[in-house]
Amino acid sequence: MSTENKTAQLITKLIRETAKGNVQWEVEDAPRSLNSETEQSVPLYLQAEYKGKLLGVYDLRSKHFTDVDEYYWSESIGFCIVDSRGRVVWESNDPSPALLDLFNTAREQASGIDDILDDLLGD
Amino acid sequence: MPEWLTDLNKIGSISSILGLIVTIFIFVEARKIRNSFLRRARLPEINKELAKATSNVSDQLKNWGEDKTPALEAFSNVKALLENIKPKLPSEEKNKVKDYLSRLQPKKYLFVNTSLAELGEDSAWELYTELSGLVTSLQQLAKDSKWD
Repeated sequence: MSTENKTAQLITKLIRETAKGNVQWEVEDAPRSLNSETEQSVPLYLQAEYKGKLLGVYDLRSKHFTDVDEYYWSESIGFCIVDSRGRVVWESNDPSPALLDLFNTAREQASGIDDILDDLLGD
Repeated sequence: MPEWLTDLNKIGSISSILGLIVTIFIFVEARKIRNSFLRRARLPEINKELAKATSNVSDQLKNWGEDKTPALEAFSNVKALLENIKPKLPSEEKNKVKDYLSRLQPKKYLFVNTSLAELGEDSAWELYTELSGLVTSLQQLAKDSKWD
């Protein structure tokens, strides 16, 4: 099985485990290599520990130059594995609806939006 | 009958056959062009709907334990969208869609499709993973179609 297929399966597994509450995502500072000295920015980085590995899912804004001083920004979702010292040892930015679903599921959990809304709606 | 008339007859027959071949060729090419235009117009729209439908499948699958009906309805919506786009796709992508649809509802007794209601939770999540890959390849096709 290719790395691409295994990644797709892992992403689905993480969505399932997150929905069951077995994986806890937290907002963290993005690893340095994702933000520094690159033509990209990571406004939101979520991290979870799963089976002893640190996994990150993040909103990635990338700058694309069309000329020397002309560029536009594009948005995508990234997925990475980081080591204990916060270095990105593997990353995937291939667009996929499942990766976007994982990001949304993780963001929903990390923000605690369910509890916030319940609280606001309560008497 | 004079010989030149027989020759003329042969030339006429050969021209008819060549004309038929050219007509078939033009018919096939016209269909390709029509499908290419339809793809350029419809694929981006259907891709947007498919992406939404895929997210909906994932949202509903999370609640499978409580009630699996909304998840099955979400798959049914995906099936309708894929069946709509299938005839407009080039052969490679068409086969991928056909494969997916046959996995969604495998054949029982060679002809009868099984019901979506027979899906189990694990198979449903597997189908979601495959759907995500399929949607990605259709999104790439929509980008390629801009250069057709």
